Amino acid sequence: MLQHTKEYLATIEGVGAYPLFSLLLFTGFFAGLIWWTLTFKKTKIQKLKNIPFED
Amino acid sequence: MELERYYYDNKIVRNFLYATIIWGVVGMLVGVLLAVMFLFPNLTYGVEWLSFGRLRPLHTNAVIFAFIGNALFGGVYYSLQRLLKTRLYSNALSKINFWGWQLIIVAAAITLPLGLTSSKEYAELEWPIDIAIALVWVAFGVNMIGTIMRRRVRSLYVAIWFYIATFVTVAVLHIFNSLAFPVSWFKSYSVYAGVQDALVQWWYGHNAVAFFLTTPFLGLMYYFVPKAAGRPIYSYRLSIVHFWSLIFIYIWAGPHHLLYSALPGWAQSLGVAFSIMLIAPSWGGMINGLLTLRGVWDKVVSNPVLKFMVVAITGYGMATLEGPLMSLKNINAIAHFSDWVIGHVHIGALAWNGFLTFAMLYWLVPKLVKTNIYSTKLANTHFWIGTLGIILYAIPMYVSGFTQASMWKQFNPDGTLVYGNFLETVTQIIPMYWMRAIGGTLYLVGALIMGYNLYKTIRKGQSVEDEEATAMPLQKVSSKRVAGEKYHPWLERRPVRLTLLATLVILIGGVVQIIPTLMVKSNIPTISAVNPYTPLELEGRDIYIREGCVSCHSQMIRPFRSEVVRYGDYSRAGEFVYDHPFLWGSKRTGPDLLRIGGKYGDSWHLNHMYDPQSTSPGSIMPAYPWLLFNKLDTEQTLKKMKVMVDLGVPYSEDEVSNGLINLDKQAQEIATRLLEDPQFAASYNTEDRNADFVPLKDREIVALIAYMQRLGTDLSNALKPEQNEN
Repeated sequence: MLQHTKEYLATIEGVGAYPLFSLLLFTGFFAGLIWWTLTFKKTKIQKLKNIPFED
Repeated sequence: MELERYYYDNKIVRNFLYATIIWGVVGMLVGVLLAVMFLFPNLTYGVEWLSFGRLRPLHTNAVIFAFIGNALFGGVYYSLQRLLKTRLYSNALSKINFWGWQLIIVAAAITLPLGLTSSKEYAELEWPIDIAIALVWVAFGVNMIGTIMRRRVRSLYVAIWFYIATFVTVAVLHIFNSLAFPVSWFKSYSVYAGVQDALVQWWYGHNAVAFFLTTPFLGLMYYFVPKAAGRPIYSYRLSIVHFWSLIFIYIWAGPHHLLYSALPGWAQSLGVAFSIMLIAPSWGGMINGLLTLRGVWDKVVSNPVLKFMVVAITGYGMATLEGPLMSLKNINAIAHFSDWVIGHVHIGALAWNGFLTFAMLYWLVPKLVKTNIYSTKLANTHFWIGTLGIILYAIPMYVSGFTQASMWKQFNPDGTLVYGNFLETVTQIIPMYWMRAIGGTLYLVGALIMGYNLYKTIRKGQSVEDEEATAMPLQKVSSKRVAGEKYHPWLERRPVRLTLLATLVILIGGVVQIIPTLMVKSNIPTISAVNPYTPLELEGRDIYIREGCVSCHSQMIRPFRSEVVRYGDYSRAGEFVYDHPFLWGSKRTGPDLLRIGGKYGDSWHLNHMYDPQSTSPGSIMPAYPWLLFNKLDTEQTLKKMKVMVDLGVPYSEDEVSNGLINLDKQAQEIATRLLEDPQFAASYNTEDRNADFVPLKDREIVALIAYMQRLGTDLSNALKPEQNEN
């Protein structure tokens, strides 16, 4: 099965687009992440960051 | 609801911390011994198990897995219980984790000096120990996830996410890189060969740094820095971005260890691009750590714990800026194979991991024994000696790296190398090796001072093995998102979901790395002149592996004019198709050996192994006299060939069945040539012919010479190598 997978992957057309795809993927991921954290409520953030002090 | 009473397991934390101190001193001591061996190469003359090549993996394994590994477990187990307000899930699993890990360390400390090694960097241990590592690691993971399931705190603090990512990623990396076919209990061959083996190894090697030395310590930073500073982390939002983007990117960057190699170009570029992107989350984390100390800088002046933390986090920032810069191809051309890499990793190990561990120990040990530190003054002394040690270690390595790499590349106007003799570039940097040895010694002295200080602290304190605590039980809520609940808060109370998502995130990059690995076979141009090793060469190669020659000698000539002129034609991917494991190396303390075959006579090699300084005055290579007397063990030769056949090496049935006959024939030819040297023949003929006498042809040196003389000759024997590639 591994052999078939190898052959299949080796024949991907335009595999050189990988880096560009990866860059876009990460940029999207990173931007989404920042946007997402900004939606956190301040009270919630305060609660989370104080967890180490509640023991 | 009533308050629940429970007990924190302090005993397991204490055990791990004590082990951290003991193994830390051992690992650093071996490091100092190795540093001194650069100055006195024959310091341990004639003692096989104390030779440089065997001790070098012992040093790296001891500091990574014994010192930093024990610190990781101790720190995780302490903080996990407090962050979740519960005792560890299972006492038995905790014990298995602790004693299993110590047994693995002892096994490593025995097998590595015996030369039992797979030769893959930071994964040298042989297969039974690899299996034990996997089992103990799973025990750690189950114990951690179990503890999370039993928690009395709804949300998982960011440190715990880092711990979870550590567990899942190290498991994946360790298993894939350690896949090997065993020959015997302590000998195996990697299932991958040549370029593929290199790719998997550096996918592992890079991410071992990421997920064993970085993510768990970031988790510890997010817990212990706020605790020691007495104020919460600067930005929790930033820590979320730090976590997800770091684990997402890190795993993509492995190919930067293989620039200018046979790896497909786009994969190299991808590795470089992601390495540069890595600066963003790494520096986000560093800034987050340092800014947590805003407003308490006055405390930093007097509090040694905070001092250690400041240098540790700064070291993290330095190493994570330096690493991406070193992955740029033009900088990598200089840095790779030079002492710069050694300087770089020691900024990470000594400053980031070492100092954060020291900070944690100084903070935690007094807490565990309910007392104050025995001597703050001694702790401050440790801090200054350690910091000076880091500076004296790292700066000389940068200077020697640049100096030597520049010397390697200098040409005369007539096109010849200015420093054609590799040795000239070594003798030039000996003063730097002196400074490095002094720096390393200072660092070790600091650790010993800490050992004494903490010993006295423990003596004056009282050990509390089970510390009482109380907390409200966690109220049951729906496993689904409740009204108004955002995605991440929901995710934080769903630990298994969080684990799976973290696994998915690391696998995206992992898959992208594995795809070229799978594809690479079809990208390797076959070279018809490249044949499998003869049985004697195979045995010689195993001696090369056993003695750790790969620690100081590369077998990878990069396509640079300076390397081609010095060593010969640059390396082709197709040359390594039978190399289980690959032996490209990562450091050139001595010259590259890929095309050493035929360059010198057999006698030269024999003399060089017996007394390197006799053939190369001023050489810092240690002598390997035992190779000239040890009998070559051929008991496993046929088994080795059969395993190679299983791995795809095309030995015919005849070649395997006649393996020992062919081995003997080739050995006899080499022995005959060696005895043509009258000086050697004279000394050989005067040896006692008693019961222990081993005929020359049966000695290990003959096998090693066979291998050395074979290296690189397949390509040069082919008339026009380029035309034979298809």
